[in-house]
Amino acid sequence: MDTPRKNSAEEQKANNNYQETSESDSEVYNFLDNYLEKENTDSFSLGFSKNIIREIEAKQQCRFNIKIYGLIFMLSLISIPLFISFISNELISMILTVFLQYKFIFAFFICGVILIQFSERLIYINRDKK
Amino acid sequence: MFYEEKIISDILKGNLNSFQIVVKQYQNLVYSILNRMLTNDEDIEDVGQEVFIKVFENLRSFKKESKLSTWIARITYNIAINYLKKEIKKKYDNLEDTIDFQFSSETPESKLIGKEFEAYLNQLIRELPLQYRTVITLYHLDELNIQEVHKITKFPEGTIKVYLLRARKLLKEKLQKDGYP
Repeated sequence: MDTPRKNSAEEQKANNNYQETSESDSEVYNFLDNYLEKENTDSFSLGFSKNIIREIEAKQQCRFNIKIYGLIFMLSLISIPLFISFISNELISMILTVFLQYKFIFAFFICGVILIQFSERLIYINRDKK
Repeated sequence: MFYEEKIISDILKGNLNSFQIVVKQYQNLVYSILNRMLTNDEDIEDVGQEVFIKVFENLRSFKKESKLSTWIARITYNIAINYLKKEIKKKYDNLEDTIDFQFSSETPESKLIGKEFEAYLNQLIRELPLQYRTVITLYHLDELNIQEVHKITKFPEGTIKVYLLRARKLLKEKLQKDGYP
């Protein structure tokens, strides 16, 4: 069980009983205690708590991304040998034909992904500035 | 009102708004400890962030054997010590060194009052050897008692009392020399 706090000057006297604590000493100790016990008015910057939440969110997002990338890596690791085992000249020519037929759709898709990534980054930068 | 149990369970469920309440509740405590333990003002904000991120990540391991404030103060103390160990080659000040300890702060030309005096006293505390300033800061903050300071620092209770006495004596002598009160 925790013992209750004593007044620091009293405690000083109790622990220092082999020494005489003069009146002027007690006065300085009391003066010192008054200032030491005063609540601190300074603190962190205004957006401190928001910054921490943002940092935690960023860390959580990073952990989520790592999990997703890990999953993608594992799936690729499994699918590549499977794909290689099925590969043949006919399959390659078929894939090429499909790709050439829908090349604009593929290009549009890739551009879309890049744009989304870009705008997401811009939004984050603007939010950080605020 | 700050309901510790409910807020902790909310945070563990992933509620970041509840964690923001914890940050706001204890940021003054963390700031006060770091303000006196770290000598460089610019580091306080970064180390403070590190403290709260660690609190968030380790909240699951909080056993409720002590108050949440004591637990957070302990994390703050440990991070500050690790930071100082990295930053300052001196690591822990040697107790033998402290026998001849002297303040380097110049005596103000005229008597300071209010905020100026608080700043001056803070400066004197910051100049104290690390273990002294740690103990005096924790003891006089948030009404922590000797047992709680022991839980945070792991210094034996007797040692804490000795550090407190010596720190207070050094400050008293310096103040007397400066003509206070």
